[in-house]
Amino acid sequence: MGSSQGMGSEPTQEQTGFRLISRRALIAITAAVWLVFVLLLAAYLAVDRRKEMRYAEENARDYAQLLAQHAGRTMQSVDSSLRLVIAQYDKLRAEGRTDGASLNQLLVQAKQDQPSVRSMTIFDSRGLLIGDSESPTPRQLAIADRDHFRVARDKPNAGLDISVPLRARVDGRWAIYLARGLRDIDGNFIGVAVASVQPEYFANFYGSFEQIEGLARIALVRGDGVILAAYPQAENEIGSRFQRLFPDSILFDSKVTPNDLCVIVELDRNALLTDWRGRVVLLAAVALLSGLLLLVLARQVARRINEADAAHRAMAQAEQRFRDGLSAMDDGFAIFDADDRLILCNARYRDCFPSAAQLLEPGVDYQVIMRAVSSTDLDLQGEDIASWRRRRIDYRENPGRGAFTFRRRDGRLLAITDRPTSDGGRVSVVSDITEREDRAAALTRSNVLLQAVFDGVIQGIWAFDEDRKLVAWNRQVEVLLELPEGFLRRGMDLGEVQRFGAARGDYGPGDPAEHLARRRRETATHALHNIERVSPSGRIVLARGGPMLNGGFVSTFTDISEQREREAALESAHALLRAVFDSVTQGIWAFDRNGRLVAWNETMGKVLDAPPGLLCEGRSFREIQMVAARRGDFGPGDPDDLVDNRGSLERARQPHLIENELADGRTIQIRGGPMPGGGFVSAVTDITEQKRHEREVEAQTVRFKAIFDNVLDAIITINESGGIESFNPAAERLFGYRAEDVLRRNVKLLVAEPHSSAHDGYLRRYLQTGERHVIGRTREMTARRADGSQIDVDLSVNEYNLGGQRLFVGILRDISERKEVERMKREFVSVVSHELRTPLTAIAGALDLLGTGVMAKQPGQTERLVEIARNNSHRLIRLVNDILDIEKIEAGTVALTLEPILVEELIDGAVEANRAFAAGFRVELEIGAIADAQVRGDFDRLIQVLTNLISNACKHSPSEGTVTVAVERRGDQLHFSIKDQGPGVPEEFRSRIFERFAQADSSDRRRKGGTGLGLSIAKSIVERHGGRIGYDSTLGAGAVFWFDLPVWGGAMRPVAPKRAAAVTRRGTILHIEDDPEIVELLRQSLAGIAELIAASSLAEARLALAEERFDAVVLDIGLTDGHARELLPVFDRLSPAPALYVFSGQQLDAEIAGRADLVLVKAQEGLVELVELITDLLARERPE
Amino acid sequence: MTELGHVLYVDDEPDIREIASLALAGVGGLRVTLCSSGAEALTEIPQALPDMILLDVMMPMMDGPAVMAKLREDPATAGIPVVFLTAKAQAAEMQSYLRLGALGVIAKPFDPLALADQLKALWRRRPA
Repeated sequence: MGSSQGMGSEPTQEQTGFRLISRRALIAITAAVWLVFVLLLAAYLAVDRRKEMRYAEENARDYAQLLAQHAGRTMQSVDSSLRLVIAQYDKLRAEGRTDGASLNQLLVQAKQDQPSVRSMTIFDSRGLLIGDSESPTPRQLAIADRDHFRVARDKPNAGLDISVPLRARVDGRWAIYLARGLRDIDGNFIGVAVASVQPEYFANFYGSFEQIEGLARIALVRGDGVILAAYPQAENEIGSRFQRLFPDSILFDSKVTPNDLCVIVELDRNALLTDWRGRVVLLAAVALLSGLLLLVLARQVARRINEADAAHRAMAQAEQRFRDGLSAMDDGFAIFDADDRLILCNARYRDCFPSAAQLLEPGVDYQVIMRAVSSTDLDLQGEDIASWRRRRIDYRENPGRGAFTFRRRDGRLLAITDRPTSDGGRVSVVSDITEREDRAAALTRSNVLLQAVFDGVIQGIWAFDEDRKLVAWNRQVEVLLELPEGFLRRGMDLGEVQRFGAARGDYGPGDPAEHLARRRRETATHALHNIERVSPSGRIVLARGGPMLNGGFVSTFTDISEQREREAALESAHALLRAVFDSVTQGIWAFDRNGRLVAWNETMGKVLDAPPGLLCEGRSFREIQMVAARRGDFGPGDPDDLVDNRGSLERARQPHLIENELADGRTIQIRGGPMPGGGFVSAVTDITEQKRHEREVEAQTVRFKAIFDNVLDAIITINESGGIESFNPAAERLFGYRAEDVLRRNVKLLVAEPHSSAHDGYLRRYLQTGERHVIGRTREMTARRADGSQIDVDLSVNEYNLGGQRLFVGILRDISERKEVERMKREFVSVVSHELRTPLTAIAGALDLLGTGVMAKQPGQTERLVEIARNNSHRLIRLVNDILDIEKIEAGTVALTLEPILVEELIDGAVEANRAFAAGFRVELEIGAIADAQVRGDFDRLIQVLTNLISNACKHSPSEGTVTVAVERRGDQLHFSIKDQGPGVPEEFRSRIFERFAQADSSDRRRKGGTGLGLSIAKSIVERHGGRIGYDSTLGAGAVFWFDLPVWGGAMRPVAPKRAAAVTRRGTILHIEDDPEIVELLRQSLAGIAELIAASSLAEARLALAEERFDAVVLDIGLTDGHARELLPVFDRLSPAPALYVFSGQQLDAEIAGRADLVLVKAQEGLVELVELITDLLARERPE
Repeated sequence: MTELGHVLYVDDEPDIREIASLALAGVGGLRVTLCSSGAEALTEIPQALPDMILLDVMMPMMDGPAVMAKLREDPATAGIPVVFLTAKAQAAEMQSYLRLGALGVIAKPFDPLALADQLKALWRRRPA
């Protein structure tokens, strides 16, 4: 409202002027800016040009210096070569070797390392070529007419002469000649040494500076201005005087010392400034463009100014309309100035107080108007006019009190609202509120309701007007700010509330006045605010608010103590979660949709053994994978490929379970899945231990499986309904079923009747009652095999639980053999008992009869009874002995004394022992061919075997028959045979001939006095010796009982002498042996240390001993042409006598045994010992 | 009831045959016929028709039970009581002989002084 006063005036000329000035200024400023810009560009270009030029000049100067140094060095170098030539030439001349070839050699050498020189030559005093670097035979060439020759000839102290470029006489190419005169010791001119330098050498060198290519020309110039070389080089330029090449150029020259030369660098300014000109054009374009742009901008701004101008005019019109409107409005309206004088009022205002209407002219004092208001205008309702006036003035002076209402005499209710203006004046508005008041009554009700709602909200709300007066609030504000009830009232100043708060200490400890001042400053602007404050009782109240559209501000207050508590609780829950997250044994991490790490726990780092710093926020999954791949966690290969193959993208989309063996040998398991909203989370567990455990379990399973498969007992598992669950290989063998044929079938299949049919019942009863009949015990039963046969088995059944299923495992052992053994044992006991009782019966009976004396009467009867008793006693003794024997032998309790036995000895012993027995049967014993070999065995027991077989043969031989004993070597076995001429073995008896008490005809027993155990004993003994026994028989044509025993030492192998290294001399050994295999064996064994001479007979042996001296003689006893003892006299005559070792399988006589150094048995052990003995013998000897 | 008079004894052991003969004839006063094998007994018995046959069990070629089985096949000899005299005298074996229909079993070694009385007692107890 305050601004309306300003707008009340007419639009002034001043405002229009502002518009004109601003337009002009705009154009001026724009032009000025553009001008400054252009000037700056121009300045920049000028500086740039100078800089460019200076830089180029500096460079050119540098180049000139550099190239002058180069030219000087080159000339100097060529000069030094020339000096060398001169010195060498002097030497050659002194030696008289000035021929073309020698000079050529010298010049070629001098030309070396001189890239600038094309050729080097020497001319004689007449100017004729005598030496040339290019040819050993100098061409005919004369240079007496050349300047450089003349200078060298005519000026003894001329030094180096550099010619102008000349066309060479040889090829017409340009050349610069460097010449020095040659003088003899007396100073007489004898010739000139010339080096031909190519101008191209310099031109090429100058051309190699790319930096100045196109910008400059370089020339090497003689002191007289003649160009020697130039780049760029024009053909006609060389040899002519130097002239500028470029129309606008700068020259830089540098002297070449010490020669009278100079290097000129000609800088082409045009070329140099090409770039700069480009920049000028570019910047000119920029200036132009920017000018255009500014023009456009200025036009735009000008249009905006026009628009603003139009707005001003519109505003002025609006003001006029306001004035018009004011006079037309229903409300009365008056404005007073700071001195409370009326400025203007409308007609309505006049109508309000008819009695004062004529007074209401601008300039009239309000007090005058007031005094003019009389009771005739008003319905005072008993109030006197003075009081009414006071009340009115009071309202007017305290606008905060609201509208002043009064009733006019005509019954209309009027309300005057007073407001101060910005210049200290007042505005009064008078409204006829008669109708509004009626409506207000209705509104009040809804207002009460609204206030109730307002009060009912949890938040406190208050609103202050632009003067910071409270205009609205609810009860909750007082509650939340803990203000006394009713403390807030309409129109209350915010400052008052703040004062209260400051005094109470709401803004913290300290001086309340300072707090108050600060608060005032803070709330001075009705800005958006969002602050937390703590109420006196400690509740946290959030105050937030902002300006209202019509000025003033509104704030809401919310008690956020609980929210804060919840946040704190949430915070601690989060911390707890974090602690849990960090302390779980699994590593956990999460990646966002871009594969960037967003969360992980400490364990993850440990599980992955990640390098420090690898796991950090935002680290890409791929980067981490790469570290692992490089470390070898994904196996060998290119890390990039490995990571690509890991399919990290797939991981983000679907649940995954991966196992990975790391490079350090640990195994980890990664389990995870996508996160809602993208990305994925994985948990990584170190399952090394678990894996190890699994492997152990696996190994255990394999072991159990191996046991299950290889155990000899049949193992069958059945379930509760009798179905076979497992059937091991031993069970397959026992029952003849294959596992796949019986699995899942009922076990009664394997049980013999009657148990087969009853088996289901057994199982059912056990499951119902728990009564155990079989389980946990071992018992015998009869099983049924696949072919229907029955077999006795031991069965033990145990119950176990596997994953809630009750299973029964049965272990079955085939006991048919044991049963058979038991049967045999029973039978044996029965037979033995019978066999013992039989002679006992005779003995006891005879003795009983003798005792009675009944028989004494009859003659001879007593003697007969005594004889019966004695015969049977003897028989009983033999029987008992044999039974004890066989029991002991079979039980293995007889300790066999094993020793090498000569077969011959064995047979002799046995035959001799049985000769008398055989004679009793009138049978002749004959010894057949006996192999020369040994067996290893118990001598007495083998004699027993032979005795049993021989006596058996005798018993079954006819009178005057012959029993032949022979031993034949069959491979590594010795075949003993005892042949008789008896009736042979009856057919029906053959199967049990070696059984105990088995005799073909039991009457024989009486007749022959056998016990029926002999063959059985023989069989046992032979088998204990690792042999086998048998017979060959043709009925009626006798029988041959035989047994085989392994040859002792039969299979000998060559041995290697252990101490062969100690033998320093190769010895000579005589081996007297008729078996070539034994000879070869010993020869091989001694191959490294001795030469073996073999003698297969006594005759050969004698010959060898006569002809040669031997270190040792190895002797076999039985030879084809006699016994070894016949050689003893020969040995006696030898001096020195060789060592004598007997190596034989035969029996020794005392003579040889006494003479020999050692006797060894022909067996592997003997061979080893023999070889060692010979080694020692040879090692011991120290030859002279 | 007639007294036991004639006993035929079969045994392959000559010494025992001799002792038994003395025990039965000399001590017991019985008439004794001796046979050394089952085959001999089978030819002798139908002619001799003894009151009682005393049989050894373990004999070569044909054992005691085999001889008894042959005798049972011939009606003429089927009724002659058989007593086994055997060294295979374990309880189970003796039971098995009785089950074959033997009148009795006497174990070896036997008492030569009581043998005849034992046979006579068995004879008296034989079934009618």
